[in-house]
Amino acid sequence: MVNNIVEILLIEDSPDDAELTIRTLKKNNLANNLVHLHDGEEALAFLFSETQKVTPKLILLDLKMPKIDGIEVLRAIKNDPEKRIIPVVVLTSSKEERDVIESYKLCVNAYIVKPVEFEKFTEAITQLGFFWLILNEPPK
Amino acid sequence: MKVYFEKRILGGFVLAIIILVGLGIYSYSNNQKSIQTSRMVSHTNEVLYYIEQLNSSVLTLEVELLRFNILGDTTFLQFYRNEIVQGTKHIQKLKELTKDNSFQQNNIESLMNLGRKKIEHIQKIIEAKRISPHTLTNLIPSPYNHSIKFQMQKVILDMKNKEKHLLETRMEANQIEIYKFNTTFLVFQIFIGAILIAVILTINGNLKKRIKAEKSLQDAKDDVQDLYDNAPCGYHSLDSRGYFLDMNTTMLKWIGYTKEEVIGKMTFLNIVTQDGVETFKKEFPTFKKQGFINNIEFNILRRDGNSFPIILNSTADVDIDGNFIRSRSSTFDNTERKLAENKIKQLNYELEAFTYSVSHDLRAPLRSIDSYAKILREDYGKGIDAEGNRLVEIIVKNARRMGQLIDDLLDFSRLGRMELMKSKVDVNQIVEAVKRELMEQEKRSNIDFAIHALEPTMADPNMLRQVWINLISNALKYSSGQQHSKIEVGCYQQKDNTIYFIRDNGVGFDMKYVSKLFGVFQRLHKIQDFEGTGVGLALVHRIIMRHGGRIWAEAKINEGATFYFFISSKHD
Repeated sequence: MVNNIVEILLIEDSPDDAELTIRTLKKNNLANNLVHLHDGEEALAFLFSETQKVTPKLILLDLKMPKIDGIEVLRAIKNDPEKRIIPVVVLTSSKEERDVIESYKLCVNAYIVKPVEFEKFTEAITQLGFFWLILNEPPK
Repeated sequence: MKVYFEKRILGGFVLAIIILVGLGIYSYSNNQKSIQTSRMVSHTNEVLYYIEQLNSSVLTLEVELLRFNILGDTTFLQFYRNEIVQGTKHIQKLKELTKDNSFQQNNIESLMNLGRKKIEHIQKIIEAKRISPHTLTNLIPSPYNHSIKFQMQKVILDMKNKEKHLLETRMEANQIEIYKFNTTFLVFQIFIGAILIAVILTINGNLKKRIKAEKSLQDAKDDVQDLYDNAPCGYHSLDSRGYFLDMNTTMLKWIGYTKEEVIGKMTFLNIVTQDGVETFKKEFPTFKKQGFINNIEFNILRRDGNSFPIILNSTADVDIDGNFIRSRSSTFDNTERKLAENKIKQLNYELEAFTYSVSHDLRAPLRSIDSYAKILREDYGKGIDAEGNRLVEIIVKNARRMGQLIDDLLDFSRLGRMELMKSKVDVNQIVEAVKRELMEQEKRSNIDFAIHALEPTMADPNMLRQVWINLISNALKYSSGQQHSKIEVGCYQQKDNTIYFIRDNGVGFDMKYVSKLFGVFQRLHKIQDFEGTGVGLALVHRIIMRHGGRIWAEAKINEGATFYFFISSKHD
């Protein structure tokens, strides 16, 4: 998993959701430099690795994951003086108010609830991909 | 009643005393009179004595005179002189004694005259004896001397009789007086006796009544004490420093001390845990000032070091100037309630965890079902026949429906946990806004929607908005089959409540099933006829119930339905 350029870091434990997300991004040519990590532990290991420095343009973060959940990952990123500038978008099934509040308290950059319906889901992923990777100007 | 009896007793005593004083005065005056009478009697006896002396003098003198005449006894002269002196003395005494009695005075006068005559005559006799003894025979015995003697004796007898008569009269009067006195005394004694008996009877009766009253008072006191001691809640009283003035048996049992150990020796701070000490120090001065405190919670410390929660309510006993005297507190063992509260908290927590997991875990597979079915259709649709495509469609349709069910269920469960934020709500504004929003999505134009003036109410605006959204969309949905939909929203006053209603001319329903109308996932129509999950009205029902209100409906098949509801006007 050594990529010099990582544009999108997808942290998602559900293989189906990951596949649907990657499929949608690929259809829009947005998934060329995408790394998929399967839980919070992997994510922290990857992000805070001693051997390589990775600064993705966008982190897509699921909340409910085994071992270390998304909130913990978000806290680690936003508490780190270097990593805190990376845009993090929470992509989750949870509509729970406390998750939304907690995420924003930790300075999340956006909070997207995954729609259940396929059309709405692909629409949401497409829009957020275009916005964050093309429209948005990331920190260099 | 009591006053009346005491007046009677007092009256009895006063009357008895008056009679006693009267009797005393009467006795005294009677005694004085009696003394007077005795004095009179002795006076009369004295008079009689002197009369008797005179009589004796007269008789003795006569005898001695005869002896002198016959024997010539010369001692007579001496005797005579003595008798004259004695007689004069007696006469003088008599005169003095009877100076208020004219009859006796007259008699004394005549007696003195007779005495003088007698003396003259005796002088003659003595003279004759000395000079010419022969003349003596003319002088004594002689009719003259005899006559004087006789007259004197007669006068003396008269006097004696008079005095005796006087004595008798006086004795008789005295007797009558004594009899009268005795009779009167006896009558009044009996009277006093009767009064005293009456008074004693009355006092006795009063005493009996008082004893009875005191006994019933004591009984009532015992009853109250018994209730106080054995009530299922703890009672106690504190003085202004927080020391216990009283505590009932129930509370003593709770804390494990005896009454002697607690009263006047322990303060409230001795039986509360550390957090309670802070609460007490903060609340007790406020309580003393405002005179009451309600539903304050403490953890009570038992003798063995264990503690348990209570709820305390207290009122202050104050004097006329409003100064604090003592508290009157009742406490309830809150253990059960705390346990129940914790259980509810636990259940709520579990419920929350459940809904959280529902929102997360049920959606993810659903998304996969929906998405992969659609990918299948998209990527391989051309390779599958019509029946295969129909089956894929069924999967997609059911995935959507299940998504809707999950969302509605989550809404419904979230509502139970959401806090009510009541404020004054302009119902007209809400209904107008909801109508506008829903009508924008409506494709039909043949809808007659009438909104009458609606009273404002106290409610949670967001929840009330949800109520109207669900009711109005239902009305639109179920009247959609009509050529011309008619929807009417209004309100009217019934007693203290404003009743809102919404009426449509839609398909209605059978009143037989009205009890199922507000149940979760209960539907009265087929899914092919009208879409829905059966949560809408259950949600409305839950919101209205949480507002302390009521909702009900009236309908007929194919003749429309009317929903009524009101919200409790009470603030909380």
